[in-house]
Amino acid sequence: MPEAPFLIAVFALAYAGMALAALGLDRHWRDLVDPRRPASRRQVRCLRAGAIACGLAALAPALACDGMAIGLLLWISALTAGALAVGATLAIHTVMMAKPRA
Amino acid sequence: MSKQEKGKGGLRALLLWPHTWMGVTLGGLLVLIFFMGSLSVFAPEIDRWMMPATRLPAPTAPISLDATMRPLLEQLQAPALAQGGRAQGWMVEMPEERVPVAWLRVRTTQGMEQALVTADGRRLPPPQTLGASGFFYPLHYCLLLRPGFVGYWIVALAAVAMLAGLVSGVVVHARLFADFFTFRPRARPQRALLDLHNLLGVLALPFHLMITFTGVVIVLPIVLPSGVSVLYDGNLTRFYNEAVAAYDRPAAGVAAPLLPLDPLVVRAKAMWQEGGGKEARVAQVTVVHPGDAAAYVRVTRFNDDRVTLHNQPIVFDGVTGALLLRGAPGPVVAAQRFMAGLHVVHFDHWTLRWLYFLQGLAGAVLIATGLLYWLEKRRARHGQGLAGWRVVAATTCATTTGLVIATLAMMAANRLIPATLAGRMGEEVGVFFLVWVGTAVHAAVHLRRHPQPPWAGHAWAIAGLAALCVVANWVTTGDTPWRAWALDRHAVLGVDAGLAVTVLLAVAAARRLGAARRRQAAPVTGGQLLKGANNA
Amino acid sequence: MTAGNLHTVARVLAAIAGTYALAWGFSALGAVAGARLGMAPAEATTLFGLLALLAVPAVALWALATRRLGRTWAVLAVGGVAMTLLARGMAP
Repeated sequence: MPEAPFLIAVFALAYAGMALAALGLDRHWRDLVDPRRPASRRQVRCLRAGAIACGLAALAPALACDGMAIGLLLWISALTAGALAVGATLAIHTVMMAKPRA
Repeated sequence: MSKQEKGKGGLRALLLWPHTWMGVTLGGLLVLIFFMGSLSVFAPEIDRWMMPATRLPAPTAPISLDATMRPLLEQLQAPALAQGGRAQGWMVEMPEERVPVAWLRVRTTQGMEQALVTADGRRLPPPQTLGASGFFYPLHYCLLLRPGFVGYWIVALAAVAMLAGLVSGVVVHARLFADFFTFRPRARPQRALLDLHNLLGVLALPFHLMITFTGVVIVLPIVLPSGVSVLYDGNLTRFYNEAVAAYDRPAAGVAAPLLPLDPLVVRAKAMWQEGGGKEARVAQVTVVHPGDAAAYVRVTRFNDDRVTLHNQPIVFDGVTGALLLRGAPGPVVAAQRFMAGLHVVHFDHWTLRWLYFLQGLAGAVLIATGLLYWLEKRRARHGQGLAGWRVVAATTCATTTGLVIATLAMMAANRLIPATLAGRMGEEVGVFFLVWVGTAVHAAVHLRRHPQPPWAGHAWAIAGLAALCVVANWVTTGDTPWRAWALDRHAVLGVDAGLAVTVLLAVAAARRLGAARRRQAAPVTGGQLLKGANNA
Repeated sequence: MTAGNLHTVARVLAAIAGTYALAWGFSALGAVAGARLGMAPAEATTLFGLLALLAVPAVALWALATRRLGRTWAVLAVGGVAMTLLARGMAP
């Protein structure tokens, strides 16, 4: 599968971008980083810029692999898959944290 | 600013009512459409699973129509010609990687004959099943109600409601960005259901808008034939002929020998490649009026390398070989064909096929969680004594878990009823509908004495039937996973794997639901079903 | 049937039948006008069908959400019928 590295890059960048976007939201920042203090404005700006950069960067391997039409379709679908994966990661994390330690 | 806020709040309140009631009334139908559409992504693979004789390797060598298919076509029409009939048309659907068999169809004045043949021209027995492409797929786009296009109208109405539901859902959503990734499976059921509903609705919104819109676009001339009525006197065939460049001429009534077909196919391929790009494969070859002086040959291309569904038909004179027509749609029709291609994802891209499948299922879950949320909220407010509540609860159960049970029952029937039985095709369909109605009745009866639909029981039924399908496939065809792997039967392997995952998820959900019921006397809720699925 | 129920039925009817009438009128008129202005008939038919479909969900939501039902019905029915008649009149 010659396209495998491209596909891995698309999904990895989509997941990374969505993870940064999640950290830029107050609820997930408190869950994952610091429950007492919200992220500073600068931190939020950096996270959002990183999220957009990763999301846009995922477009490059998608276009390189599949051309304009199918590449765009792959990119949008990969962003959705990445976002759902981040949502699942966060849900599993909260469930694990909430479990009473034996 | 405050006025704007108020305006937004007002709009939200206004749109909540349509969003809710479109969902409650058409949600069950939409779950069916999304579920069957998702299965249709893998219709060729499910077909291979349901038609074991067609589990063949992909054709590698080019297929000679004249050497392989033409003798079979002539053989098919021979009885009709012997009775004094006249040949009207031949059609060959060429084998390809996912459908490694050819369908031959012969139309004569005496009727239709068809045959399933291998790439090397061996005739196979009729499959005695509609398969996924003959049952799940039409159920998806027309509910099997073809007369008068009734099913197309109903599906299009539901699709427009889906579009309106998606748009109103975004407006109604109170904290679109703050809750972008939020799913709290341990929260109380109402909260968890709404979380999942919002999560899937927002994150898969681009796909759902695209797939719903393009779905209606495919059938638009059928469901909104306004332009056809004023510009084509309502003649849909004439419109389609003009739009996608079809060709037609009557038989001359004078016999003339038909040219060899292979050279025409070679010419068609060269014409497709004129613009550059990789060599296109042939999808269909049609001969109209074979043996007549007015015979013509239509060759279409396979679109495995691009999105559009436009198959660039090329029509040759069947006696002289002259080029009669070369289909080139205008820009708008080309755009329409592109959108149709976006919907049916026929191009060769396994990653996207899986993403379509999963996002389609996400659509079914989106609608189902909306229904469950409504049920929980309604119960909290009015109690469940209302007959209307029970009707929606039973319908929701039948159109979600009941639909999965019916689908699996049909697949199990396919493996357990011998294909040698003449009526198996109809029996499979009968099993599907009987089991489906059965799940609805079961849910309705269960709800008379229990506060919740029989989720746990249905989950166990799903697990049992999916396991039965896998084992029945191994026993009746001998295609155990290692054998399927050794023979490169990826379609069989994939369907079996999907069934195995279904077993695992269903067992996990069922055990979770059972445990929750034992732990507390309180009713088991849909939210706990979700918890079960998530924690497993 | 109570007044509230009647109002609901009228709203749902407006959203389905009224919206359809408007979409029909718009796409018929657009197709005829496009063909008159030199577009291929199949192209004009497809183009205005697609444009109508883009508007249909929004119009249906408006019909369901609006409080002034009389005005909604007037716009949808009168607009739809007028455009359909105009299209018939202009048809080649």
